Amino acid sequence: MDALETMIKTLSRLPGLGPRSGRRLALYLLGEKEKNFGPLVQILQEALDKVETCPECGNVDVQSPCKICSHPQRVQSELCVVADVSDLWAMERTHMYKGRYLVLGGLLSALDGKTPEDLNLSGLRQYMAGGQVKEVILALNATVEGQTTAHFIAEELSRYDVKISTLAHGVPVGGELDYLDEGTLQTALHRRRPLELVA
Amino acid sequence: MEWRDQGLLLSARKQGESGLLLTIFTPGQGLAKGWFRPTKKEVALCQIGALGEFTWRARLSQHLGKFQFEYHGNPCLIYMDDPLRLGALSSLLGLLSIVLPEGHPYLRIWEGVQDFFDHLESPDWIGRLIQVELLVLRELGFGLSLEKCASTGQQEDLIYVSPRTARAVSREAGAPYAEKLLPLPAFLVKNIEKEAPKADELLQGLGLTGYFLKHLILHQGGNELPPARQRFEKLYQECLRKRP
Repeated sequence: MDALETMIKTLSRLPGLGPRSGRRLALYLLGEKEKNFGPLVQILQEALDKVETCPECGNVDVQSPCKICSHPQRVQSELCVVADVSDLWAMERTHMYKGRYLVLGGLLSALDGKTPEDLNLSGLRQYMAGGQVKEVILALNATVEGQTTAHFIAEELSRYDVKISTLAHGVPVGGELDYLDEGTLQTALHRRRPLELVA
Repeated sequence: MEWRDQGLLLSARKQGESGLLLTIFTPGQGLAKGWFRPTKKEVALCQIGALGEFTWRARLSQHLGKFQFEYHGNPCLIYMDDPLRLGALSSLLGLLSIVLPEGHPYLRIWEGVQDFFDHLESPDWIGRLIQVELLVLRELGFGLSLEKCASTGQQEDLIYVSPRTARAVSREAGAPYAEKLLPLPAFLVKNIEKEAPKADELLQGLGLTGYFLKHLILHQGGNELPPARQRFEKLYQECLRKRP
């Protein structure tokens, strides 16, 4: 297999791409080598050389510890536990949370063979041993696997003197009931809360 | 070839970028597998424990067919906040997905599972889970014989189970081998007045069914108990330990 075929095959394996889009992307890159291909190769090489996994939280960044862990104004007493780096980035996009993170590296799943040994629990224990964390926010998926993992971690954390919280589940902001799926509505109804009136 | 049946979603594994490989349990078809392409709305519903109406289509019965799915509800979503019940549901669903053979209907197991779902709020729901596990053992040909003592034939004072024969043993006959025998909780013994099982009896019951599931069914495939089942038993132990 020559370099071009290998390139197309490799591109077509990327998420969201198939053989047709792989070929189209390859032609686009090769069409204007200097303008598109060269800079892309440089950027990819630079990312390969510089991007590392943060030893403290599990985020990926060009510096180690990552920018979040080394930021002096981050609240040290709050720890947000997420399943993957993509979840960490989603939380960061809210610009609301100012504490620190821990990436678990997945969720407990019998089907995928993910057991507690596969999760980054040692990182969690290190955080807890530091003694600074006062609240752990379990920002895990609102799925059976996500919540099973949340309960498992809550059990692990029960020996420490920390507040444990999870993200709320239910009707999303701007959600119209008519368009919501039954699962979300069931959960929202089950977790309904009293409406507070102005005194 | 096509069939339509109510079903319980036991597993949904990602297949490709937008497809799911579903394993379901139905009263008429038993365990069935098929491919399903959910819409954006359906993705959230395709979680283990989902109940609904499934239509399966394929050219031949041996093929991996395609599913259509009409959602009815999911008990797991109601118990998201309840670690013990969520753990029990995950445990049961994980167990069914491992032990049941494909394409063989087990109507009694289906009814047992539905009964368990219906009684998740009742005080003896763990006892019912144990009964479902006993039912799974029985329906798969490994039923426990708990009516009379394997040694003396007596029907009273049955407090042990032989790990070798899966038969009940009375206090008197089992005394010399007490260390080797498994404890038999009173609520599992037939011919006695049913009382609400105590917590330690429920734990014994879980130990008993867990032992036989592992050694009689899962042992043949070289498997351990499903991790969710192991975690549930551990979690229940932990709950009892913390209980004042």
